Amino acid sequence: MKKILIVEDDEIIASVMDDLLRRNHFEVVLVGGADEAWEKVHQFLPDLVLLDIFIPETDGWELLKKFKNQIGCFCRQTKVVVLSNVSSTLNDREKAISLGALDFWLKANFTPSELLEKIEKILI
Amino acid sequence: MDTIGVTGPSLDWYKKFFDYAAVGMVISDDEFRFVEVNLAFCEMLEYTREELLKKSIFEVTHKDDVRISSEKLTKQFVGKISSFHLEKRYVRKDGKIVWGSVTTMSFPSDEKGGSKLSFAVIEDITRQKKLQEDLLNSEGSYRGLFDSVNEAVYIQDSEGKFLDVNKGAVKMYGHPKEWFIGKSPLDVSASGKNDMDKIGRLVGEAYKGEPQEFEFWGVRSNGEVFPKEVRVYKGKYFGKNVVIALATDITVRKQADLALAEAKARLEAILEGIGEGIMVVDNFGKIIVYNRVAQKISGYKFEEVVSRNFWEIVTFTPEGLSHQKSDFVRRTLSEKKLSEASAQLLSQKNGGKVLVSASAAPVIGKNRNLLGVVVVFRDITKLREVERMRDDFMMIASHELRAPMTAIKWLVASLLEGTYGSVPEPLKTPLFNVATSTDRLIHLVNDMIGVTRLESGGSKLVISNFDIKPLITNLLEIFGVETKRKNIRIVTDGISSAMVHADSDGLMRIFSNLVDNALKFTNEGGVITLTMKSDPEFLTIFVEDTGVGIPGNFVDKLFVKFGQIRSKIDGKPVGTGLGLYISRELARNMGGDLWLVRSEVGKGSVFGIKMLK
Repeated sequence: MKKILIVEDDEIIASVMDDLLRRNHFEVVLVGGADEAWEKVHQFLPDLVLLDIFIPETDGWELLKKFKNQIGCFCRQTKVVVLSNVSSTLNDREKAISLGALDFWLKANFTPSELLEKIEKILI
Repeated sequence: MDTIGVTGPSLDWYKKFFDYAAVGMVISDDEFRFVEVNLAFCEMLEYTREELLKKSIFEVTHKDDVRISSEKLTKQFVGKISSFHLEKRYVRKDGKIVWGSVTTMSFPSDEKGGSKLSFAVIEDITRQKKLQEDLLNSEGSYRGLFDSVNEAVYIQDSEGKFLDVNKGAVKMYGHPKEWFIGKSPLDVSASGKNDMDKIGRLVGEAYKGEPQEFEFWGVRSNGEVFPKEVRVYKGKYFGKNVVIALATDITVRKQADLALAEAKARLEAILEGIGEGIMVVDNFGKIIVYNRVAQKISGYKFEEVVSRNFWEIVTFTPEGLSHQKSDFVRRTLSEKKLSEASAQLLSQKNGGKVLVSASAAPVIGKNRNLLGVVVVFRDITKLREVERMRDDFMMIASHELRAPMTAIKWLVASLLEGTYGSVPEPLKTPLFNVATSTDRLIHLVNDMIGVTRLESGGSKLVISNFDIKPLITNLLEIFGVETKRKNIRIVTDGISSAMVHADSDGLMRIFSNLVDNALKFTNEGGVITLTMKSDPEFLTIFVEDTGVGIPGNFVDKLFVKFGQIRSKIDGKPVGTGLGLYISRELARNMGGDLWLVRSEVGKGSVFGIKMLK
């Protein structure tokens, strides 16, 4: 079972994602902030992190940098997709990729099933 | 009368006396004929004695003086008068006029004493008459001068009474000349407008020999009040000491002065009332105007900056480059062109700095020469704060608004997809409508944020040179899911690598908008084709769809902000009407354009995007 860490502070969105992924046989851990995410990434060792940009404590970009720059950490190899509610610009996408993420998704652009499809594609 | 020849000299002596007297003497009869004439008279008229003795008096009298001569002589002959004096004109043999002063007395011709003869002594006064005439003429020309000067001239006596005025005065006041005589300045004074005591004093001074000048408000015969400028001198008039006053109507000048003063006051009020700091420097860079706001922003008083070189006091440094002085004012001084400097730090008197936006405009004279530079600057500290607050608000609002909308979208989609169990048939349509409405809401919020950013200049364009092909590939990825869902193909075979000079984010937005629109209005199984055309300056990409097409009445409103709100094409809501507006603005801001190439209802539409290369 693939493991997914969802870093999302909006409880409803988080629960929809959680529900969707569990139903489709993923192991999911939900966290609402950067500190918890940093803690869980070491314990849970996820295959994919779905990282929202607007999260409490540190913003998503900072957390992404931390993941990717932590020398000797498992997390450097972890796949990360950045998610946002704010309209996607090419810059955000480029920024995400340059910081080591796989992609940048605008949440409202997809339905849950489309999201699932994209996630499955990444984790094949 | 009978004493002649009795006791005095002999008759011969009298004869000689008559003949050689220095004045003309004649004896004439009651038929006005010369009976005797002396030599002096002959010489006077240049006739011989013989010639004259054949003539009547009137034959040598000027025609205009015949009547008076005949009247006087007749009176004398009939005995009404015994003598008379007359100045009359004779006509010399050569036709010239000779003036004579004539004194006559009756001369007894017979014993009865009837006055049938007249004795006359005629003195030639031609010379005197000529002198007199010359004098008259010169007086006339003096009068002419007096009347022809443009100024009004008044001759006033020691008490200020008018003795004489010229035509200028008559014209100025509209009163006839006679009206003035004996009146004084008080009679032509506009009541309450002149200090008559002071004017009286000044005229008195002038009378003593000290020329004076003053303004005087007169009132014309029609009641009109007007200003005049008066100069008064001491003068002589027919031997009398007088004051000569020369006056000029200064109504026009006053009006011009007033208009000028008003214009100046208006300009000053504008300069002082305006919300911007204004500094004007002359063509040497010396400060000549420094308005209230400029003083407030910089802390320098006008007195502290006037006439000083602006660069010694009013210095601007570009924001973020604190060691570099801005030279936009100097640039305007040297190039005579408007220059603008958006974010500048202005040095204050107390050593502080204020964030301003500034511009410098040249003041060009009639001969295209530079008169100076007007520098306008505005404190944008507050504006900057508001901008930051707005950006924060936009960030929060866009996130906070979209998070719940995403949640709704996902929940409804999950419901419809059967994630939470099969949906009862009657609920499917309402749920589908919730999904559609949510999508519209998301779109609307996106567009509103886009417009706000665009119009506030919040989204600054980052222009760079890049290849268009990866951008199009990206575009296909973004719309991959959507195209699959609607079974629409996007054909990009016509797009090859090509460099463009644009803002990549902006361009992505434009293409997203066009493809989004094309998808919305193209039915299942349709095709969206992207092609490109290159010319030396621009690269143009055409986005063609096989959609429903745009009805004629929509074409005009297509690029207008909110132009199509609440409209429907083919039963589908068109959207906010902001997408194409934003896209076109973006394209134009990048130096390119966006336009509808063609559209046909039922066949599809083609949009063109022009980009700088």
